[in-house]
Amino acid sequence: MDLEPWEALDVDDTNLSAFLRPCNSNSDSSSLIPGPAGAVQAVMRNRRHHDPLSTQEFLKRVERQSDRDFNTNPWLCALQFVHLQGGDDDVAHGTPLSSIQNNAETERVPLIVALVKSSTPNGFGDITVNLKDPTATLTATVHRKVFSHPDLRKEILTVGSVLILQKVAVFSPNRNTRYLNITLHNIVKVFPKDSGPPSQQLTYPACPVIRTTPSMERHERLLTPGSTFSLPLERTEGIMSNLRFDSSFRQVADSDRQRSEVLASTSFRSDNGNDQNRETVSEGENLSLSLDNAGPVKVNCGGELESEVEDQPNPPKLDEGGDILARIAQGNSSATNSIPTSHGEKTGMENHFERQTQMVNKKCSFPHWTEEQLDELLAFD
Amino acid sequence: MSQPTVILATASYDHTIRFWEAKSGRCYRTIQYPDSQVNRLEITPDKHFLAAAGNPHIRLFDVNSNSPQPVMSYDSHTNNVMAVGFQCDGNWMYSGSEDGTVKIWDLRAPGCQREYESRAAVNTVVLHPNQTELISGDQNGNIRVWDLTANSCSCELVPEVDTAVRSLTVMWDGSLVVAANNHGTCYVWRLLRGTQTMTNFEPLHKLQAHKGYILKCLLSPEFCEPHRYLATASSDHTVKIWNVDGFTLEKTLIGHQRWVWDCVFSVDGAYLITASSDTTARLWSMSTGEDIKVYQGHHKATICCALHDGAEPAAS
Repeated sequence: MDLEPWEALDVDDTNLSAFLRPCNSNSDSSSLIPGPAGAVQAVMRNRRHHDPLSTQEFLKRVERQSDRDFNTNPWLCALQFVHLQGGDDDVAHGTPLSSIQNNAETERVPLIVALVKSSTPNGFGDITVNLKDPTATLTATVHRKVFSHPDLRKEILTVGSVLILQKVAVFSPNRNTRYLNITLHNIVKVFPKDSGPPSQQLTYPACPVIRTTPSMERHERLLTPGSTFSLPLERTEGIMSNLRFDSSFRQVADSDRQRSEVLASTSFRSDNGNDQNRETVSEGENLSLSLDNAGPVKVNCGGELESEVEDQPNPPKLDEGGDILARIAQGNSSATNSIPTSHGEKTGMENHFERQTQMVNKKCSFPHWTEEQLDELLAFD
Repeated sequence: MSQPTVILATASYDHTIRFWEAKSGRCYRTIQYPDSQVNRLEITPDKHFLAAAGNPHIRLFDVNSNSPQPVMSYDSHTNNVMAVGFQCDGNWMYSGSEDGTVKIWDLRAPGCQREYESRAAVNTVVLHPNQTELISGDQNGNIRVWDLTANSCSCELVPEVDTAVRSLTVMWDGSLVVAANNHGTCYVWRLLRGTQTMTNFEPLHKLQAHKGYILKCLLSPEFCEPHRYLATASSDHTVKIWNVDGFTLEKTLIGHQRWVWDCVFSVDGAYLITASSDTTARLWSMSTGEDIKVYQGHHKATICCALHDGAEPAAS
């Protein structure tokens, strides 16, 4: 009697071994299942160890190791960037966000590396972002003037991009809440979401090259017309402006690379910055003053100049120039008489620069409504 | 999708543009406009496109498509675009901006074709029915007439110095021009054809229409008979309907809970659509003064509305 078709499927266990091979279930080299199930699989394997960790502890370890946010190209590029600027391993991530959350005394954070987890316009042109680093997530507001910079468009600050920030102000409306206020001056570099892998990014040469260029930079700056009256703070701001501009470009020519390195180095090495500022002040002085007396004298003169500016919002430059010329003609080289005039000149220049900056950066988002009209329009915010 | 005979659209500070079925009040399409708020909406005479004026772009959306992407963008303004409109055949578009310029754009070619400098933020622009003159009102209170054939400013009026002209409207037959400001005052001129083909403005009336802001003034269209009306939308939550023969108050449209920012007549003048910062737009019957329909769906102030329920112009 022939077998029915279904009876042909009746295979004994002994015959089954001829078709199947047992898997190597004890192999530790097997990869985890992708996705959340991998965590469960890892826990099951953990239980078979001789000295297993507690499940909660094990899960925390697994979660940290497999957090995908910190395996992205922008994040890895940011770490490489900070490291190449001379950051030690301990500060490779900048100030941990968790320390900002836990420390009530923090007012300004020197360095932050964080990933943008969410981005929401607030209707006034600012953007509220959630920033994440391996330690915590923190809310921040990006001021609208950031986006007036041609290289910092809103399209760059998207979810997944990584920011390197410096000197960020912390706003704490109550004991349990902290926000970051991000302005244009805080942004060192932005790595867009679609950044390439770190190996494709521009790499910097060794430190000795950086040390040879600061003197050249100072020399070039001194040759600039009007540099005699420049304030160290103004120079620092200028450096930061250049740094922001240069750091936005991924491809930098060889001749520009050194300049960028110098500027980047200045922003991260406070010692160099202090030395550079001090040397600049000394070189810029036309008067023979000892370093011991320079500080107190400037502080006093600055106070006087501030009151002068308040009395005369727009001091006439021609008159000031005349005064300087008159004093030179009289041969009066007294420190107390000359320094106020010089500082006045600087203040005037600063005001002029600020006005120009405001004119350039001013971009009203809403129509020319009155305050009453705007209040009506934004009543639902 | 069949082409609707009535196109009604509104824009809001929630950065959306919504299309509505006029009769049922149903919103059948929503376009996100994330770049900025929308300051003005206008439908092309052929009903094919909706122009949205924002900051600083003017974007055209296809009325008969569900695409959220604009089909064209006009980008040479540098600040809020507060006025936009079309030549009667739809061949060119005009715009006014807070960058101080009035521009004319050829819809068939990229780029701005013509530009007039007003030296102050332009709040409103209207096209004279003769299609050869633009009238603009700016933030400093100046009203200028731009002669498009001579490419120059042919006339300048200043009803109140340093009081912004918020809205301008011209009668369909070119007989009247009305300017409204933030003090609730309407200035009315009669337009006379001069011997040298330049339009002459004869002061006709000063109307204290509202105690608060007038945000929009609009004269009734051609087929509104037997009377001619002026609608004024105000911050006092009302729209007032004035008879231009004597400027008597015909009706006060009451129903909005907040400021009324924009209004538009139906082609026969029997209905009025209004947009308010109470987040709604409303349809009013001019004969009864009652609101017939409320268009609700925006989440923030509804700033502008556009309506085209007339016939398309015959193809030349």
